[in-house]
Amino acid sequence: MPKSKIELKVFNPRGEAESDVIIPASPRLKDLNGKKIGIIALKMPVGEAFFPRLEAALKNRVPGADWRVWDVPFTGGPEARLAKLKEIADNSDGVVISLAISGGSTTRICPDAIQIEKFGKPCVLILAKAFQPTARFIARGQGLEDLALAALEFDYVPPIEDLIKFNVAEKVAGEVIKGLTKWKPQPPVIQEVSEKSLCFSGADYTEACESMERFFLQHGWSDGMPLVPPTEEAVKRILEGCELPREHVVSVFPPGMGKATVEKIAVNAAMAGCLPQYMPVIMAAVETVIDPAFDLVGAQNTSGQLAPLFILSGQKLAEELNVNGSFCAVGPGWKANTTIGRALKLILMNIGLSWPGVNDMKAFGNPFRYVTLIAENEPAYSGAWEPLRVAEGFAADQPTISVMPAMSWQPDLVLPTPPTVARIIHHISLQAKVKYDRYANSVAHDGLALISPTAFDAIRREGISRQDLQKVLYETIQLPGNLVFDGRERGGGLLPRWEKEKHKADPTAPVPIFFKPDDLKICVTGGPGPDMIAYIGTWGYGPCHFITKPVKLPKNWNSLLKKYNGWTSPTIK
Amino acid sequence: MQEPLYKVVWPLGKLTYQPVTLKPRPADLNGITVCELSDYGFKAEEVFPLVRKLLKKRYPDIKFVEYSVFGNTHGSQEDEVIGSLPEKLAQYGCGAVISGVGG
Repeated sequence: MPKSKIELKVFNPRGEAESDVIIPASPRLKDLNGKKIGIIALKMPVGEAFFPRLEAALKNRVPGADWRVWDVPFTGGPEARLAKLKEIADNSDGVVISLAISGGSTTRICPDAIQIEKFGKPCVLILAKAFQPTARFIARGQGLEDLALAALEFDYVPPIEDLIKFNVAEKVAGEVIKGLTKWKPQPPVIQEVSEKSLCFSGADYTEACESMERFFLQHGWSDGMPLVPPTEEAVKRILEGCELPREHVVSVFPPGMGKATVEKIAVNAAMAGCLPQYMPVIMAAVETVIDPAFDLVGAQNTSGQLAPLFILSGQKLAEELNVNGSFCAVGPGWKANTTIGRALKLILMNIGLSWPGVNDMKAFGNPFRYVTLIAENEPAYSGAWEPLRVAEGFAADQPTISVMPAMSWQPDLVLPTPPTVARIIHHISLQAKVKYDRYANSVAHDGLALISPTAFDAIRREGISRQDLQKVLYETIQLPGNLVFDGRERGGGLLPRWEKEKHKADPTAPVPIFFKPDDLKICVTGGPGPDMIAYIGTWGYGPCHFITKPVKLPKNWNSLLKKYNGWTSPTIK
Repeated sequence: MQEPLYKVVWPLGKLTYQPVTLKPRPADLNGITVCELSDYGFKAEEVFPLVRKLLKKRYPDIKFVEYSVFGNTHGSQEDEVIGSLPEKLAQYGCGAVISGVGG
């Protein structure tokens, strides 16, 4: 007997680009002789060795062009930058921008090149080879059909000796000239699927699901684990947990500038296997990452190994949703922790249009990019400390979600027993110093220390407040200034004067790695037992901070919990 | 339309060991030799002397063979330590064992 055919009609999870109009790239120049060509030379590592060689190579190849180098500082704000780019475009026939060396720098520099094209002038972006798909993808997301690139023959920016040895500037000069004259736009990096919904069929449900998953995987819409089909019914169910209308645009996610509508968020939440009552947490978590102080542009595309780690603070809500803050808080085993964390990753990928290996070029990635939600273990404080949300400025009865730009994960046993505050400080300090990224710590440095309930008992016994512990850790976690500064101006001048003066007087004198004591966040989580701490280092290469937002519950909250109940793990109390 | 019925495969691993019946508990610990086994962790050096002292108070004729006699059951030599236990427990006339400390 022939099997009946199953059809699945599902939503497209991809965020629609903010710009509905794709504008063509500017016409290329027939000949550079007699033309004014602007060179925007951005300050990047090896730039001092590269730019003079590039300029010499370009002048040597086309002596008849008027090559002019422009300085476009990153300071001054977006309006000043736009005005400067307009000035350059108005005074040039073509523009060369150099040099994108990583995922993050490509994401930050690309908009300049796109803007020059939008001003009607041909532009070429010089970049390391590996980041070409990133640049082309960003251009497409920002409404430009394609961007001319002059790629170094290296996937990365080589050291100065290799730049010279392999004649990199000379070779790339040829690509620059081609980019301004003969280059033609190419089809998009990833085939774009603009349909709002898609149909998949199979002999049975499993086969139809596989067909959908294969397609989603091929288009970069999957994290590699099985997906729940985002059908109209599934998405409608998820939307029961949100009072905002489907079409409401929460934000626009970089780097592809995809519109984060409530519907698209719900589609990705459904795919992740979420329940409707998880939506308030998901929506609040989205608010944390779109806060400018989280620097989502950098976080999405940096070559650093950053992942957002979310912390739910609010015991009642954690219990209602069965968000684990006890044994195995970091996973696995709890539907809420697993699927909310997964939904957020899918949202960032599919709505932000940031896809691993295409335009998200992190060398290693990060396990927190799979499961990223933990709950604070509030009962463990036994009233000795205020919960995290209160420390972050919220009322005790207002549940919150925080995001930590997590770069590392280093648990440690506080030995020898019994634990004392002095030993806890010693172990957190050890890990913080090991995990300190001396190169990245140029702009922001919010650390996170997780403390297990048993270790916290020592803090409670000794009567140390959160603020006291933060102050002692700030004073304890110090490294020699020459290691912290590494020859650079740290924190964009934000550091206290005493720290700068101390370093100036003695470059080897220890200085704190945090800007101020409460930059080190502390949260008790996990189950009792061994005296554990875990230090979570930050990324810090962009202005990416620890952010906390309130979780707002809908009016139908109680009926929602009643309707979708039973999704709890068998915890042994 | 009738909902389809899906038959799924049991995902848990099959147990490979035979269940063991618990031995009968002695009615009185007086006259019993209790052997201590330790992982040398989680404050064993504090917990065992306390347990010893308190049991001795309740059962004056209880005898102990201290954990240091057997070696670390969770250390680098644990295979050898565990392997030698049947012989050693018999050698000391063991009537009951206290093993700890789990942490």
